[in-house]
Amino acid sequence: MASAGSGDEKAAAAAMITLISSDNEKFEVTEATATLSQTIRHMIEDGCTDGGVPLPNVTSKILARVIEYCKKHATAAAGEEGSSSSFSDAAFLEVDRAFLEELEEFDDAFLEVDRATLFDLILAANYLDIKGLLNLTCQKVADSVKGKTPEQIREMYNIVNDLTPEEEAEIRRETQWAFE
Amino acid sequence: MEQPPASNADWSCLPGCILASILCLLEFPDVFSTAAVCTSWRATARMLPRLGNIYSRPQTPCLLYTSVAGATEMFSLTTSRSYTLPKLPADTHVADRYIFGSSHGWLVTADGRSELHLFNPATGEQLGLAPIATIEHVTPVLDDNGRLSRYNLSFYDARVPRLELQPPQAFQVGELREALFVKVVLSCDPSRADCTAMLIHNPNRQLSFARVGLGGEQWHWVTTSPRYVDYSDCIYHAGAFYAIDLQGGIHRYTIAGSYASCEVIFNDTVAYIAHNVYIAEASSGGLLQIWRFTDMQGDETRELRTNGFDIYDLDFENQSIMPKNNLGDDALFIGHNYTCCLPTKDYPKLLPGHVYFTDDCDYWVMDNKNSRRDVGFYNLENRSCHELASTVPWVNWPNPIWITPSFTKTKKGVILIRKHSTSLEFYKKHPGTAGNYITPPPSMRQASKLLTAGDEHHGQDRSTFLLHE
Repeated sequence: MASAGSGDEKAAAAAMITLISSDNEKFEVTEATATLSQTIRHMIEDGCTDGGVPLPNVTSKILARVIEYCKKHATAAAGEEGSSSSFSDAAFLEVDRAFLEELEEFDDAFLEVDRATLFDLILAANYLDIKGLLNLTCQKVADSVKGKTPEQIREMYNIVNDLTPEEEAEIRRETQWAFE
Repeated sequence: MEQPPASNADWSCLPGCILASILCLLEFPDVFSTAAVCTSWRATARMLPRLGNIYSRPQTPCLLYTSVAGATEMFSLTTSRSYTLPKLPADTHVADRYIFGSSHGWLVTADGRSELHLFNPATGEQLGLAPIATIEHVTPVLDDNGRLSRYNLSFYDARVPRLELQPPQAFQVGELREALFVKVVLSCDPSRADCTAMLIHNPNRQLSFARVGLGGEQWHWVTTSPRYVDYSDCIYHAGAFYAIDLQGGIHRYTIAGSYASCEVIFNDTVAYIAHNVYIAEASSGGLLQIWRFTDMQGDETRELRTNGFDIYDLDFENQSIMPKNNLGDDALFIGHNYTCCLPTKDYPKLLPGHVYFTDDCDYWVMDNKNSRRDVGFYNLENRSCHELASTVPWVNWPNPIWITPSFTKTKKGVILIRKHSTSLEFYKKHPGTAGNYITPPPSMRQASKLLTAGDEHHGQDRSTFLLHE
């Protein structure tokens, strides 16, 4: 399943990296895609990617999604570099704007996932150190709790209220100034 | 291939450092809501302002006021709720202070000895400003025992050579603040960069400035004004202070050391002296000239009420003003606060084309401390005034003021935490110095655990964390 860049000549010429999910599934991706992850970038720099990169904290389901994100954003990065020399400034800005819009649409669609997948994507983005994906997923959670009551947040994220009676009393007493 | 068990996605176990990144995207009322969700979220949310100044999200302005019970509270325009600030040390009690400014999250207050202080109510930090005895027009008078007994205030305006308009007047130590101060604005947030305070003061509403913090031992009198001076408002814009006088003229002051050079950038607009004139930077970057109109209401209990604003764009080339019927996407904040426009696309709970105001007319407010305060918002489109809240939770004095809460702390020491496989190492560093290993207090250990706990779980090896003293 899910091997990278079929039909993409650039990708075929580029070095390929094999990522191995926690359930032992192998994903072949270009170095450009893989190095959106700082964690993997460091492994490549250290030359420890022969025989594949085991990612014991990421399932195949989540890794496939993460690779989907990285492919799109790696193309974006390459597109920016490539187009700057071949267009006039105005044309470049136009292309750039269209591209950013497309990327935004991709990100919005990418985030249309259930809460459990969002949770796993956050952990994977954190573990793999993919800044863009971590920002994107954190923003999604932040937007979802804006203006919500604690009860609504608990319901949304299926969190059990384990506050002690003392803490509950403290919350009532502090008339909402929560910072220490 | 066998699928691994689906993640149980226990959001209460989200690693502290990730939860902290999420909370950093929220305004403080939302962070407070997350602090009441569950034990682990509560721990991270409550610690947020202590985690190495990572919590710097811009906040929607709040109205800061003193409640009937004497507590300092902030009314949030985001939630339309009031938040009571934690009990503060007695020497920072806002209820006992006169308030003359609010810039970048810092109140400018005058204490019972008429000394000025910066006070950040969100962090509880206080910074002293230069002693008022260093203001050119103020002379301390000592009693026989060498103790301060009163101040003399001299009456000469900003023109040189000096011309005494009347003999100096004596003021009790605590009363000078009523006569002397008009407004103070800051060039920036002093917790983030070197900051200068510009003071509009009497006689004749002239200017003096002082550095905040290091090098801020003295108020420097500005003598380069092109007129006798009657300043109404001031902002800091593109590296200089822009002061507007009561006839609408704008003078740009560029500060170098103890000297402020002056350029007239906009001529007076009217031939008479008006009362409430303001200057603001629109979020699009242009400067605005703003006139507030008031009238007196009530026969028995006379109340000064705002009944309108006129706002103008400035045509610098022709030195003329152009009426502006709306503020576009902006909301405007006016009062003793730093006059500012905020784009409502970034602050969605604010109303575009509205002016949020508090009363600040110095002669009126000082002489009528117990009058009902003039606080509300004004719709520029249909020219109507509205109350902020159906019931008023504030006392009339000290006067309520708009503030943009800032949770950034001034640069004291920072604690670096290095994570080893089994232990944490604490290393304390002051700006510009080498650091030392320390044994951290228990609260710091708790905060550091929050930062590092999740990472152990998920195999991340981020070795260094920052914490604030």
